Amino acid sequence: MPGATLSGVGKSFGAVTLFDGLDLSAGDGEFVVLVGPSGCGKSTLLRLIAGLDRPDSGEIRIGERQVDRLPPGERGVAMVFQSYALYPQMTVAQNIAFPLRMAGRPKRELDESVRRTCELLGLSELMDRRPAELSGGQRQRVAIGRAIVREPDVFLFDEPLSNLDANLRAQMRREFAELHARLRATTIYVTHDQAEAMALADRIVLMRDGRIEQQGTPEDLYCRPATLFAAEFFGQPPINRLPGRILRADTRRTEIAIGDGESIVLGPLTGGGPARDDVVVAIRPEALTARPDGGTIALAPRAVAFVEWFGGERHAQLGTGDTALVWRTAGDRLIATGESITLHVAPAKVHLFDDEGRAVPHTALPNL
Amino acid sequence: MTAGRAITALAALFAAITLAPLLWMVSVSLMQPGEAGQFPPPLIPADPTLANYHELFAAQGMGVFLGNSLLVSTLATLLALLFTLPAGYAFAKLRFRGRTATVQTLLALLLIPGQIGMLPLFLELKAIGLVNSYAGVLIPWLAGIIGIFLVRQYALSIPDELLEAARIDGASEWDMFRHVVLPILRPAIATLALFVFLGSWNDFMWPLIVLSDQDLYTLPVALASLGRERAQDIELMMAGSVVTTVPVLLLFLALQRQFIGGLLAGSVKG
Repeated sequence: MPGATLSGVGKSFGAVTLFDGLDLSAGDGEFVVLVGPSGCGKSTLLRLIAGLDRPDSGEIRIGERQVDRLPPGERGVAMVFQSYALYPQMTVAQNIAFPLRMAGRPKRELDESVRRTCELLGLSELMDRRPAELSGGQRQRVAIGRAIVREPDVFLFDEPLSNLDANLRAQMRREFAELHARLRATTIYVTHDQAEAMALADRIVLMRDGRIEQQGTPEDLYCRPATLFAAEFFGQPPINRLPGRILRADTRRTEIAIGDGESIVLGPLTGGGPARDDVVVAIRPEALTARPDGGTIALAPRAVAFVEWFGGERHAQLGTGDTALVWRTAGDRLIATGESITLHVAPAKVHLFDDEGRAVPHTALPNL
Repeated sequence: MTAGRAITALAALFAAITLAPLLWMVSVSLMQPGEAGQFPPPLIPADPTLANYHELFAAQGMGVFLGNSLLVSTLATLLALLFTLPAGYAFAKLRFRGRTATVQTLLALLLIPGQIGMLPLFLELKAIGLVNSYAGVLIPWLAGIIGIFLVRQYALSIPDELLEAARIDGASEWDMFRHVVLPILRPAIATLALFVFLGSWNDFMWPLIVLSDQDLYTLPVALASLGRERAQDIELMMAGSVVTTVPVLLLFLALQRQFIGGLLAGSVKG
């Protein structure tokens, strides 16, 4: 099954340029998740691939075929919409059969495909129902059935789980993952939900203002964010950010002041270091620990401002203002409000960003 | 409970007020000639007879006019659907140059009373030789502005995603219109069909202007010309009125089921 490639795609709406020479590819059988805040252009990108919008410039290929001048129905793509977009007057079976009917497939082949698809998605009992008689999750499955019955080259998903409640969303997310594991179809999936992106993607493409901010495996984006924007987009609760200032940077170590009189020491900066001394120090809530470990650095003690308990885990905010830290720890760790706690962090888990939000690489261990 | 009963009583009262003249019309049509002219006028025929209907069809040739009316109204309805449905849908959902301007112009034209257009329209039809033909009678019904707007307003409620899904599913514009849009428009189609059928069935002025051949007369025109000759025969006139009214009443009863909305439910979330 061929992948999809966009090269040099430009698109403007009136005076507003959304994309200016955007490149993106999804490999054969790859599950690519486009993620980003609303207005970043992820849905528009999907519509360009589907053929619902035309690019002003650039090229879109599906496999080896150039498709950007073809109508949507001839591109070999299937799309699942946020609103499901089921045909209200057709039954489940008729909805799923519709693309095959439009392709002029013979009746017997059509019935067989519809039956198999309904079986695959657990819709066999519902084939004669109309969309109005189905639950949200069932409608979503019908929409997926309508997509897979055509055996398209590329699946496009536009926020397919946004209309479902939290439990159903988690369940459907697993079903997507299973389905993808079974079909191994090239999939481009748009969402604004970072958790969905992390759970489903082979590769995440993080978008911002019509540009690709960073792309890579979920691990790449979470553990090695290239920008502060990427670091803040993933993770719940979000990454802690502290204003920092480089006091000293030499070949052995880097000393960074955070807040009043507090400083941390990291290994030497690689790649030349930032242009200015002002940096952002970012630490994930789960990277903090109350127990010192070999090589961890201690932060100044902070008083617990408030605590939230979620059963399995506990979130505590320590300190207030600019230098406050959110600490995520085990649910059975007792924390009292007002208690003063010294937190530690491994230097490798400290992310530095320059004043334009670009990652400043550093080696983990200070060479003391 | 009492409130519900009061509403039922009120509804029954309104129904009675509305129905009374219709029932009296039927009643009078069954009376002996001259019976309805007495004072006070009787409500129930003393000796019911179908003589007036016999007179109407056998002597006055009402069967021909009934057929004419059926033909004209059916054609008007079919042609109106044929032109109005695609037009209303296009104004709602397709993008083309001048769409907004055209819609606004049509809206503005609604302000002009139809009677003002009758003379110029007549002259135009005369010029192209359609006077005294059903083609001439039908032309004003082909694409009524109100009908176009009715369909347009209804079509506006169709979610774009539904049409986009159909496009991706490989449907041509025509497939999409036929398989996705028309089924959703069903309530609008029923309403429009009823409007046009009733309107053309009851239309008096325009057929009177366009048709000069008596054989081509529709029921209201024929009834009026009958009235001029036989104004004293109240019973005969009422029988003619029954013949004119009943078919559209039946049509309305048959189609009113179609007015139920909610046909969109479940297609998209909401």
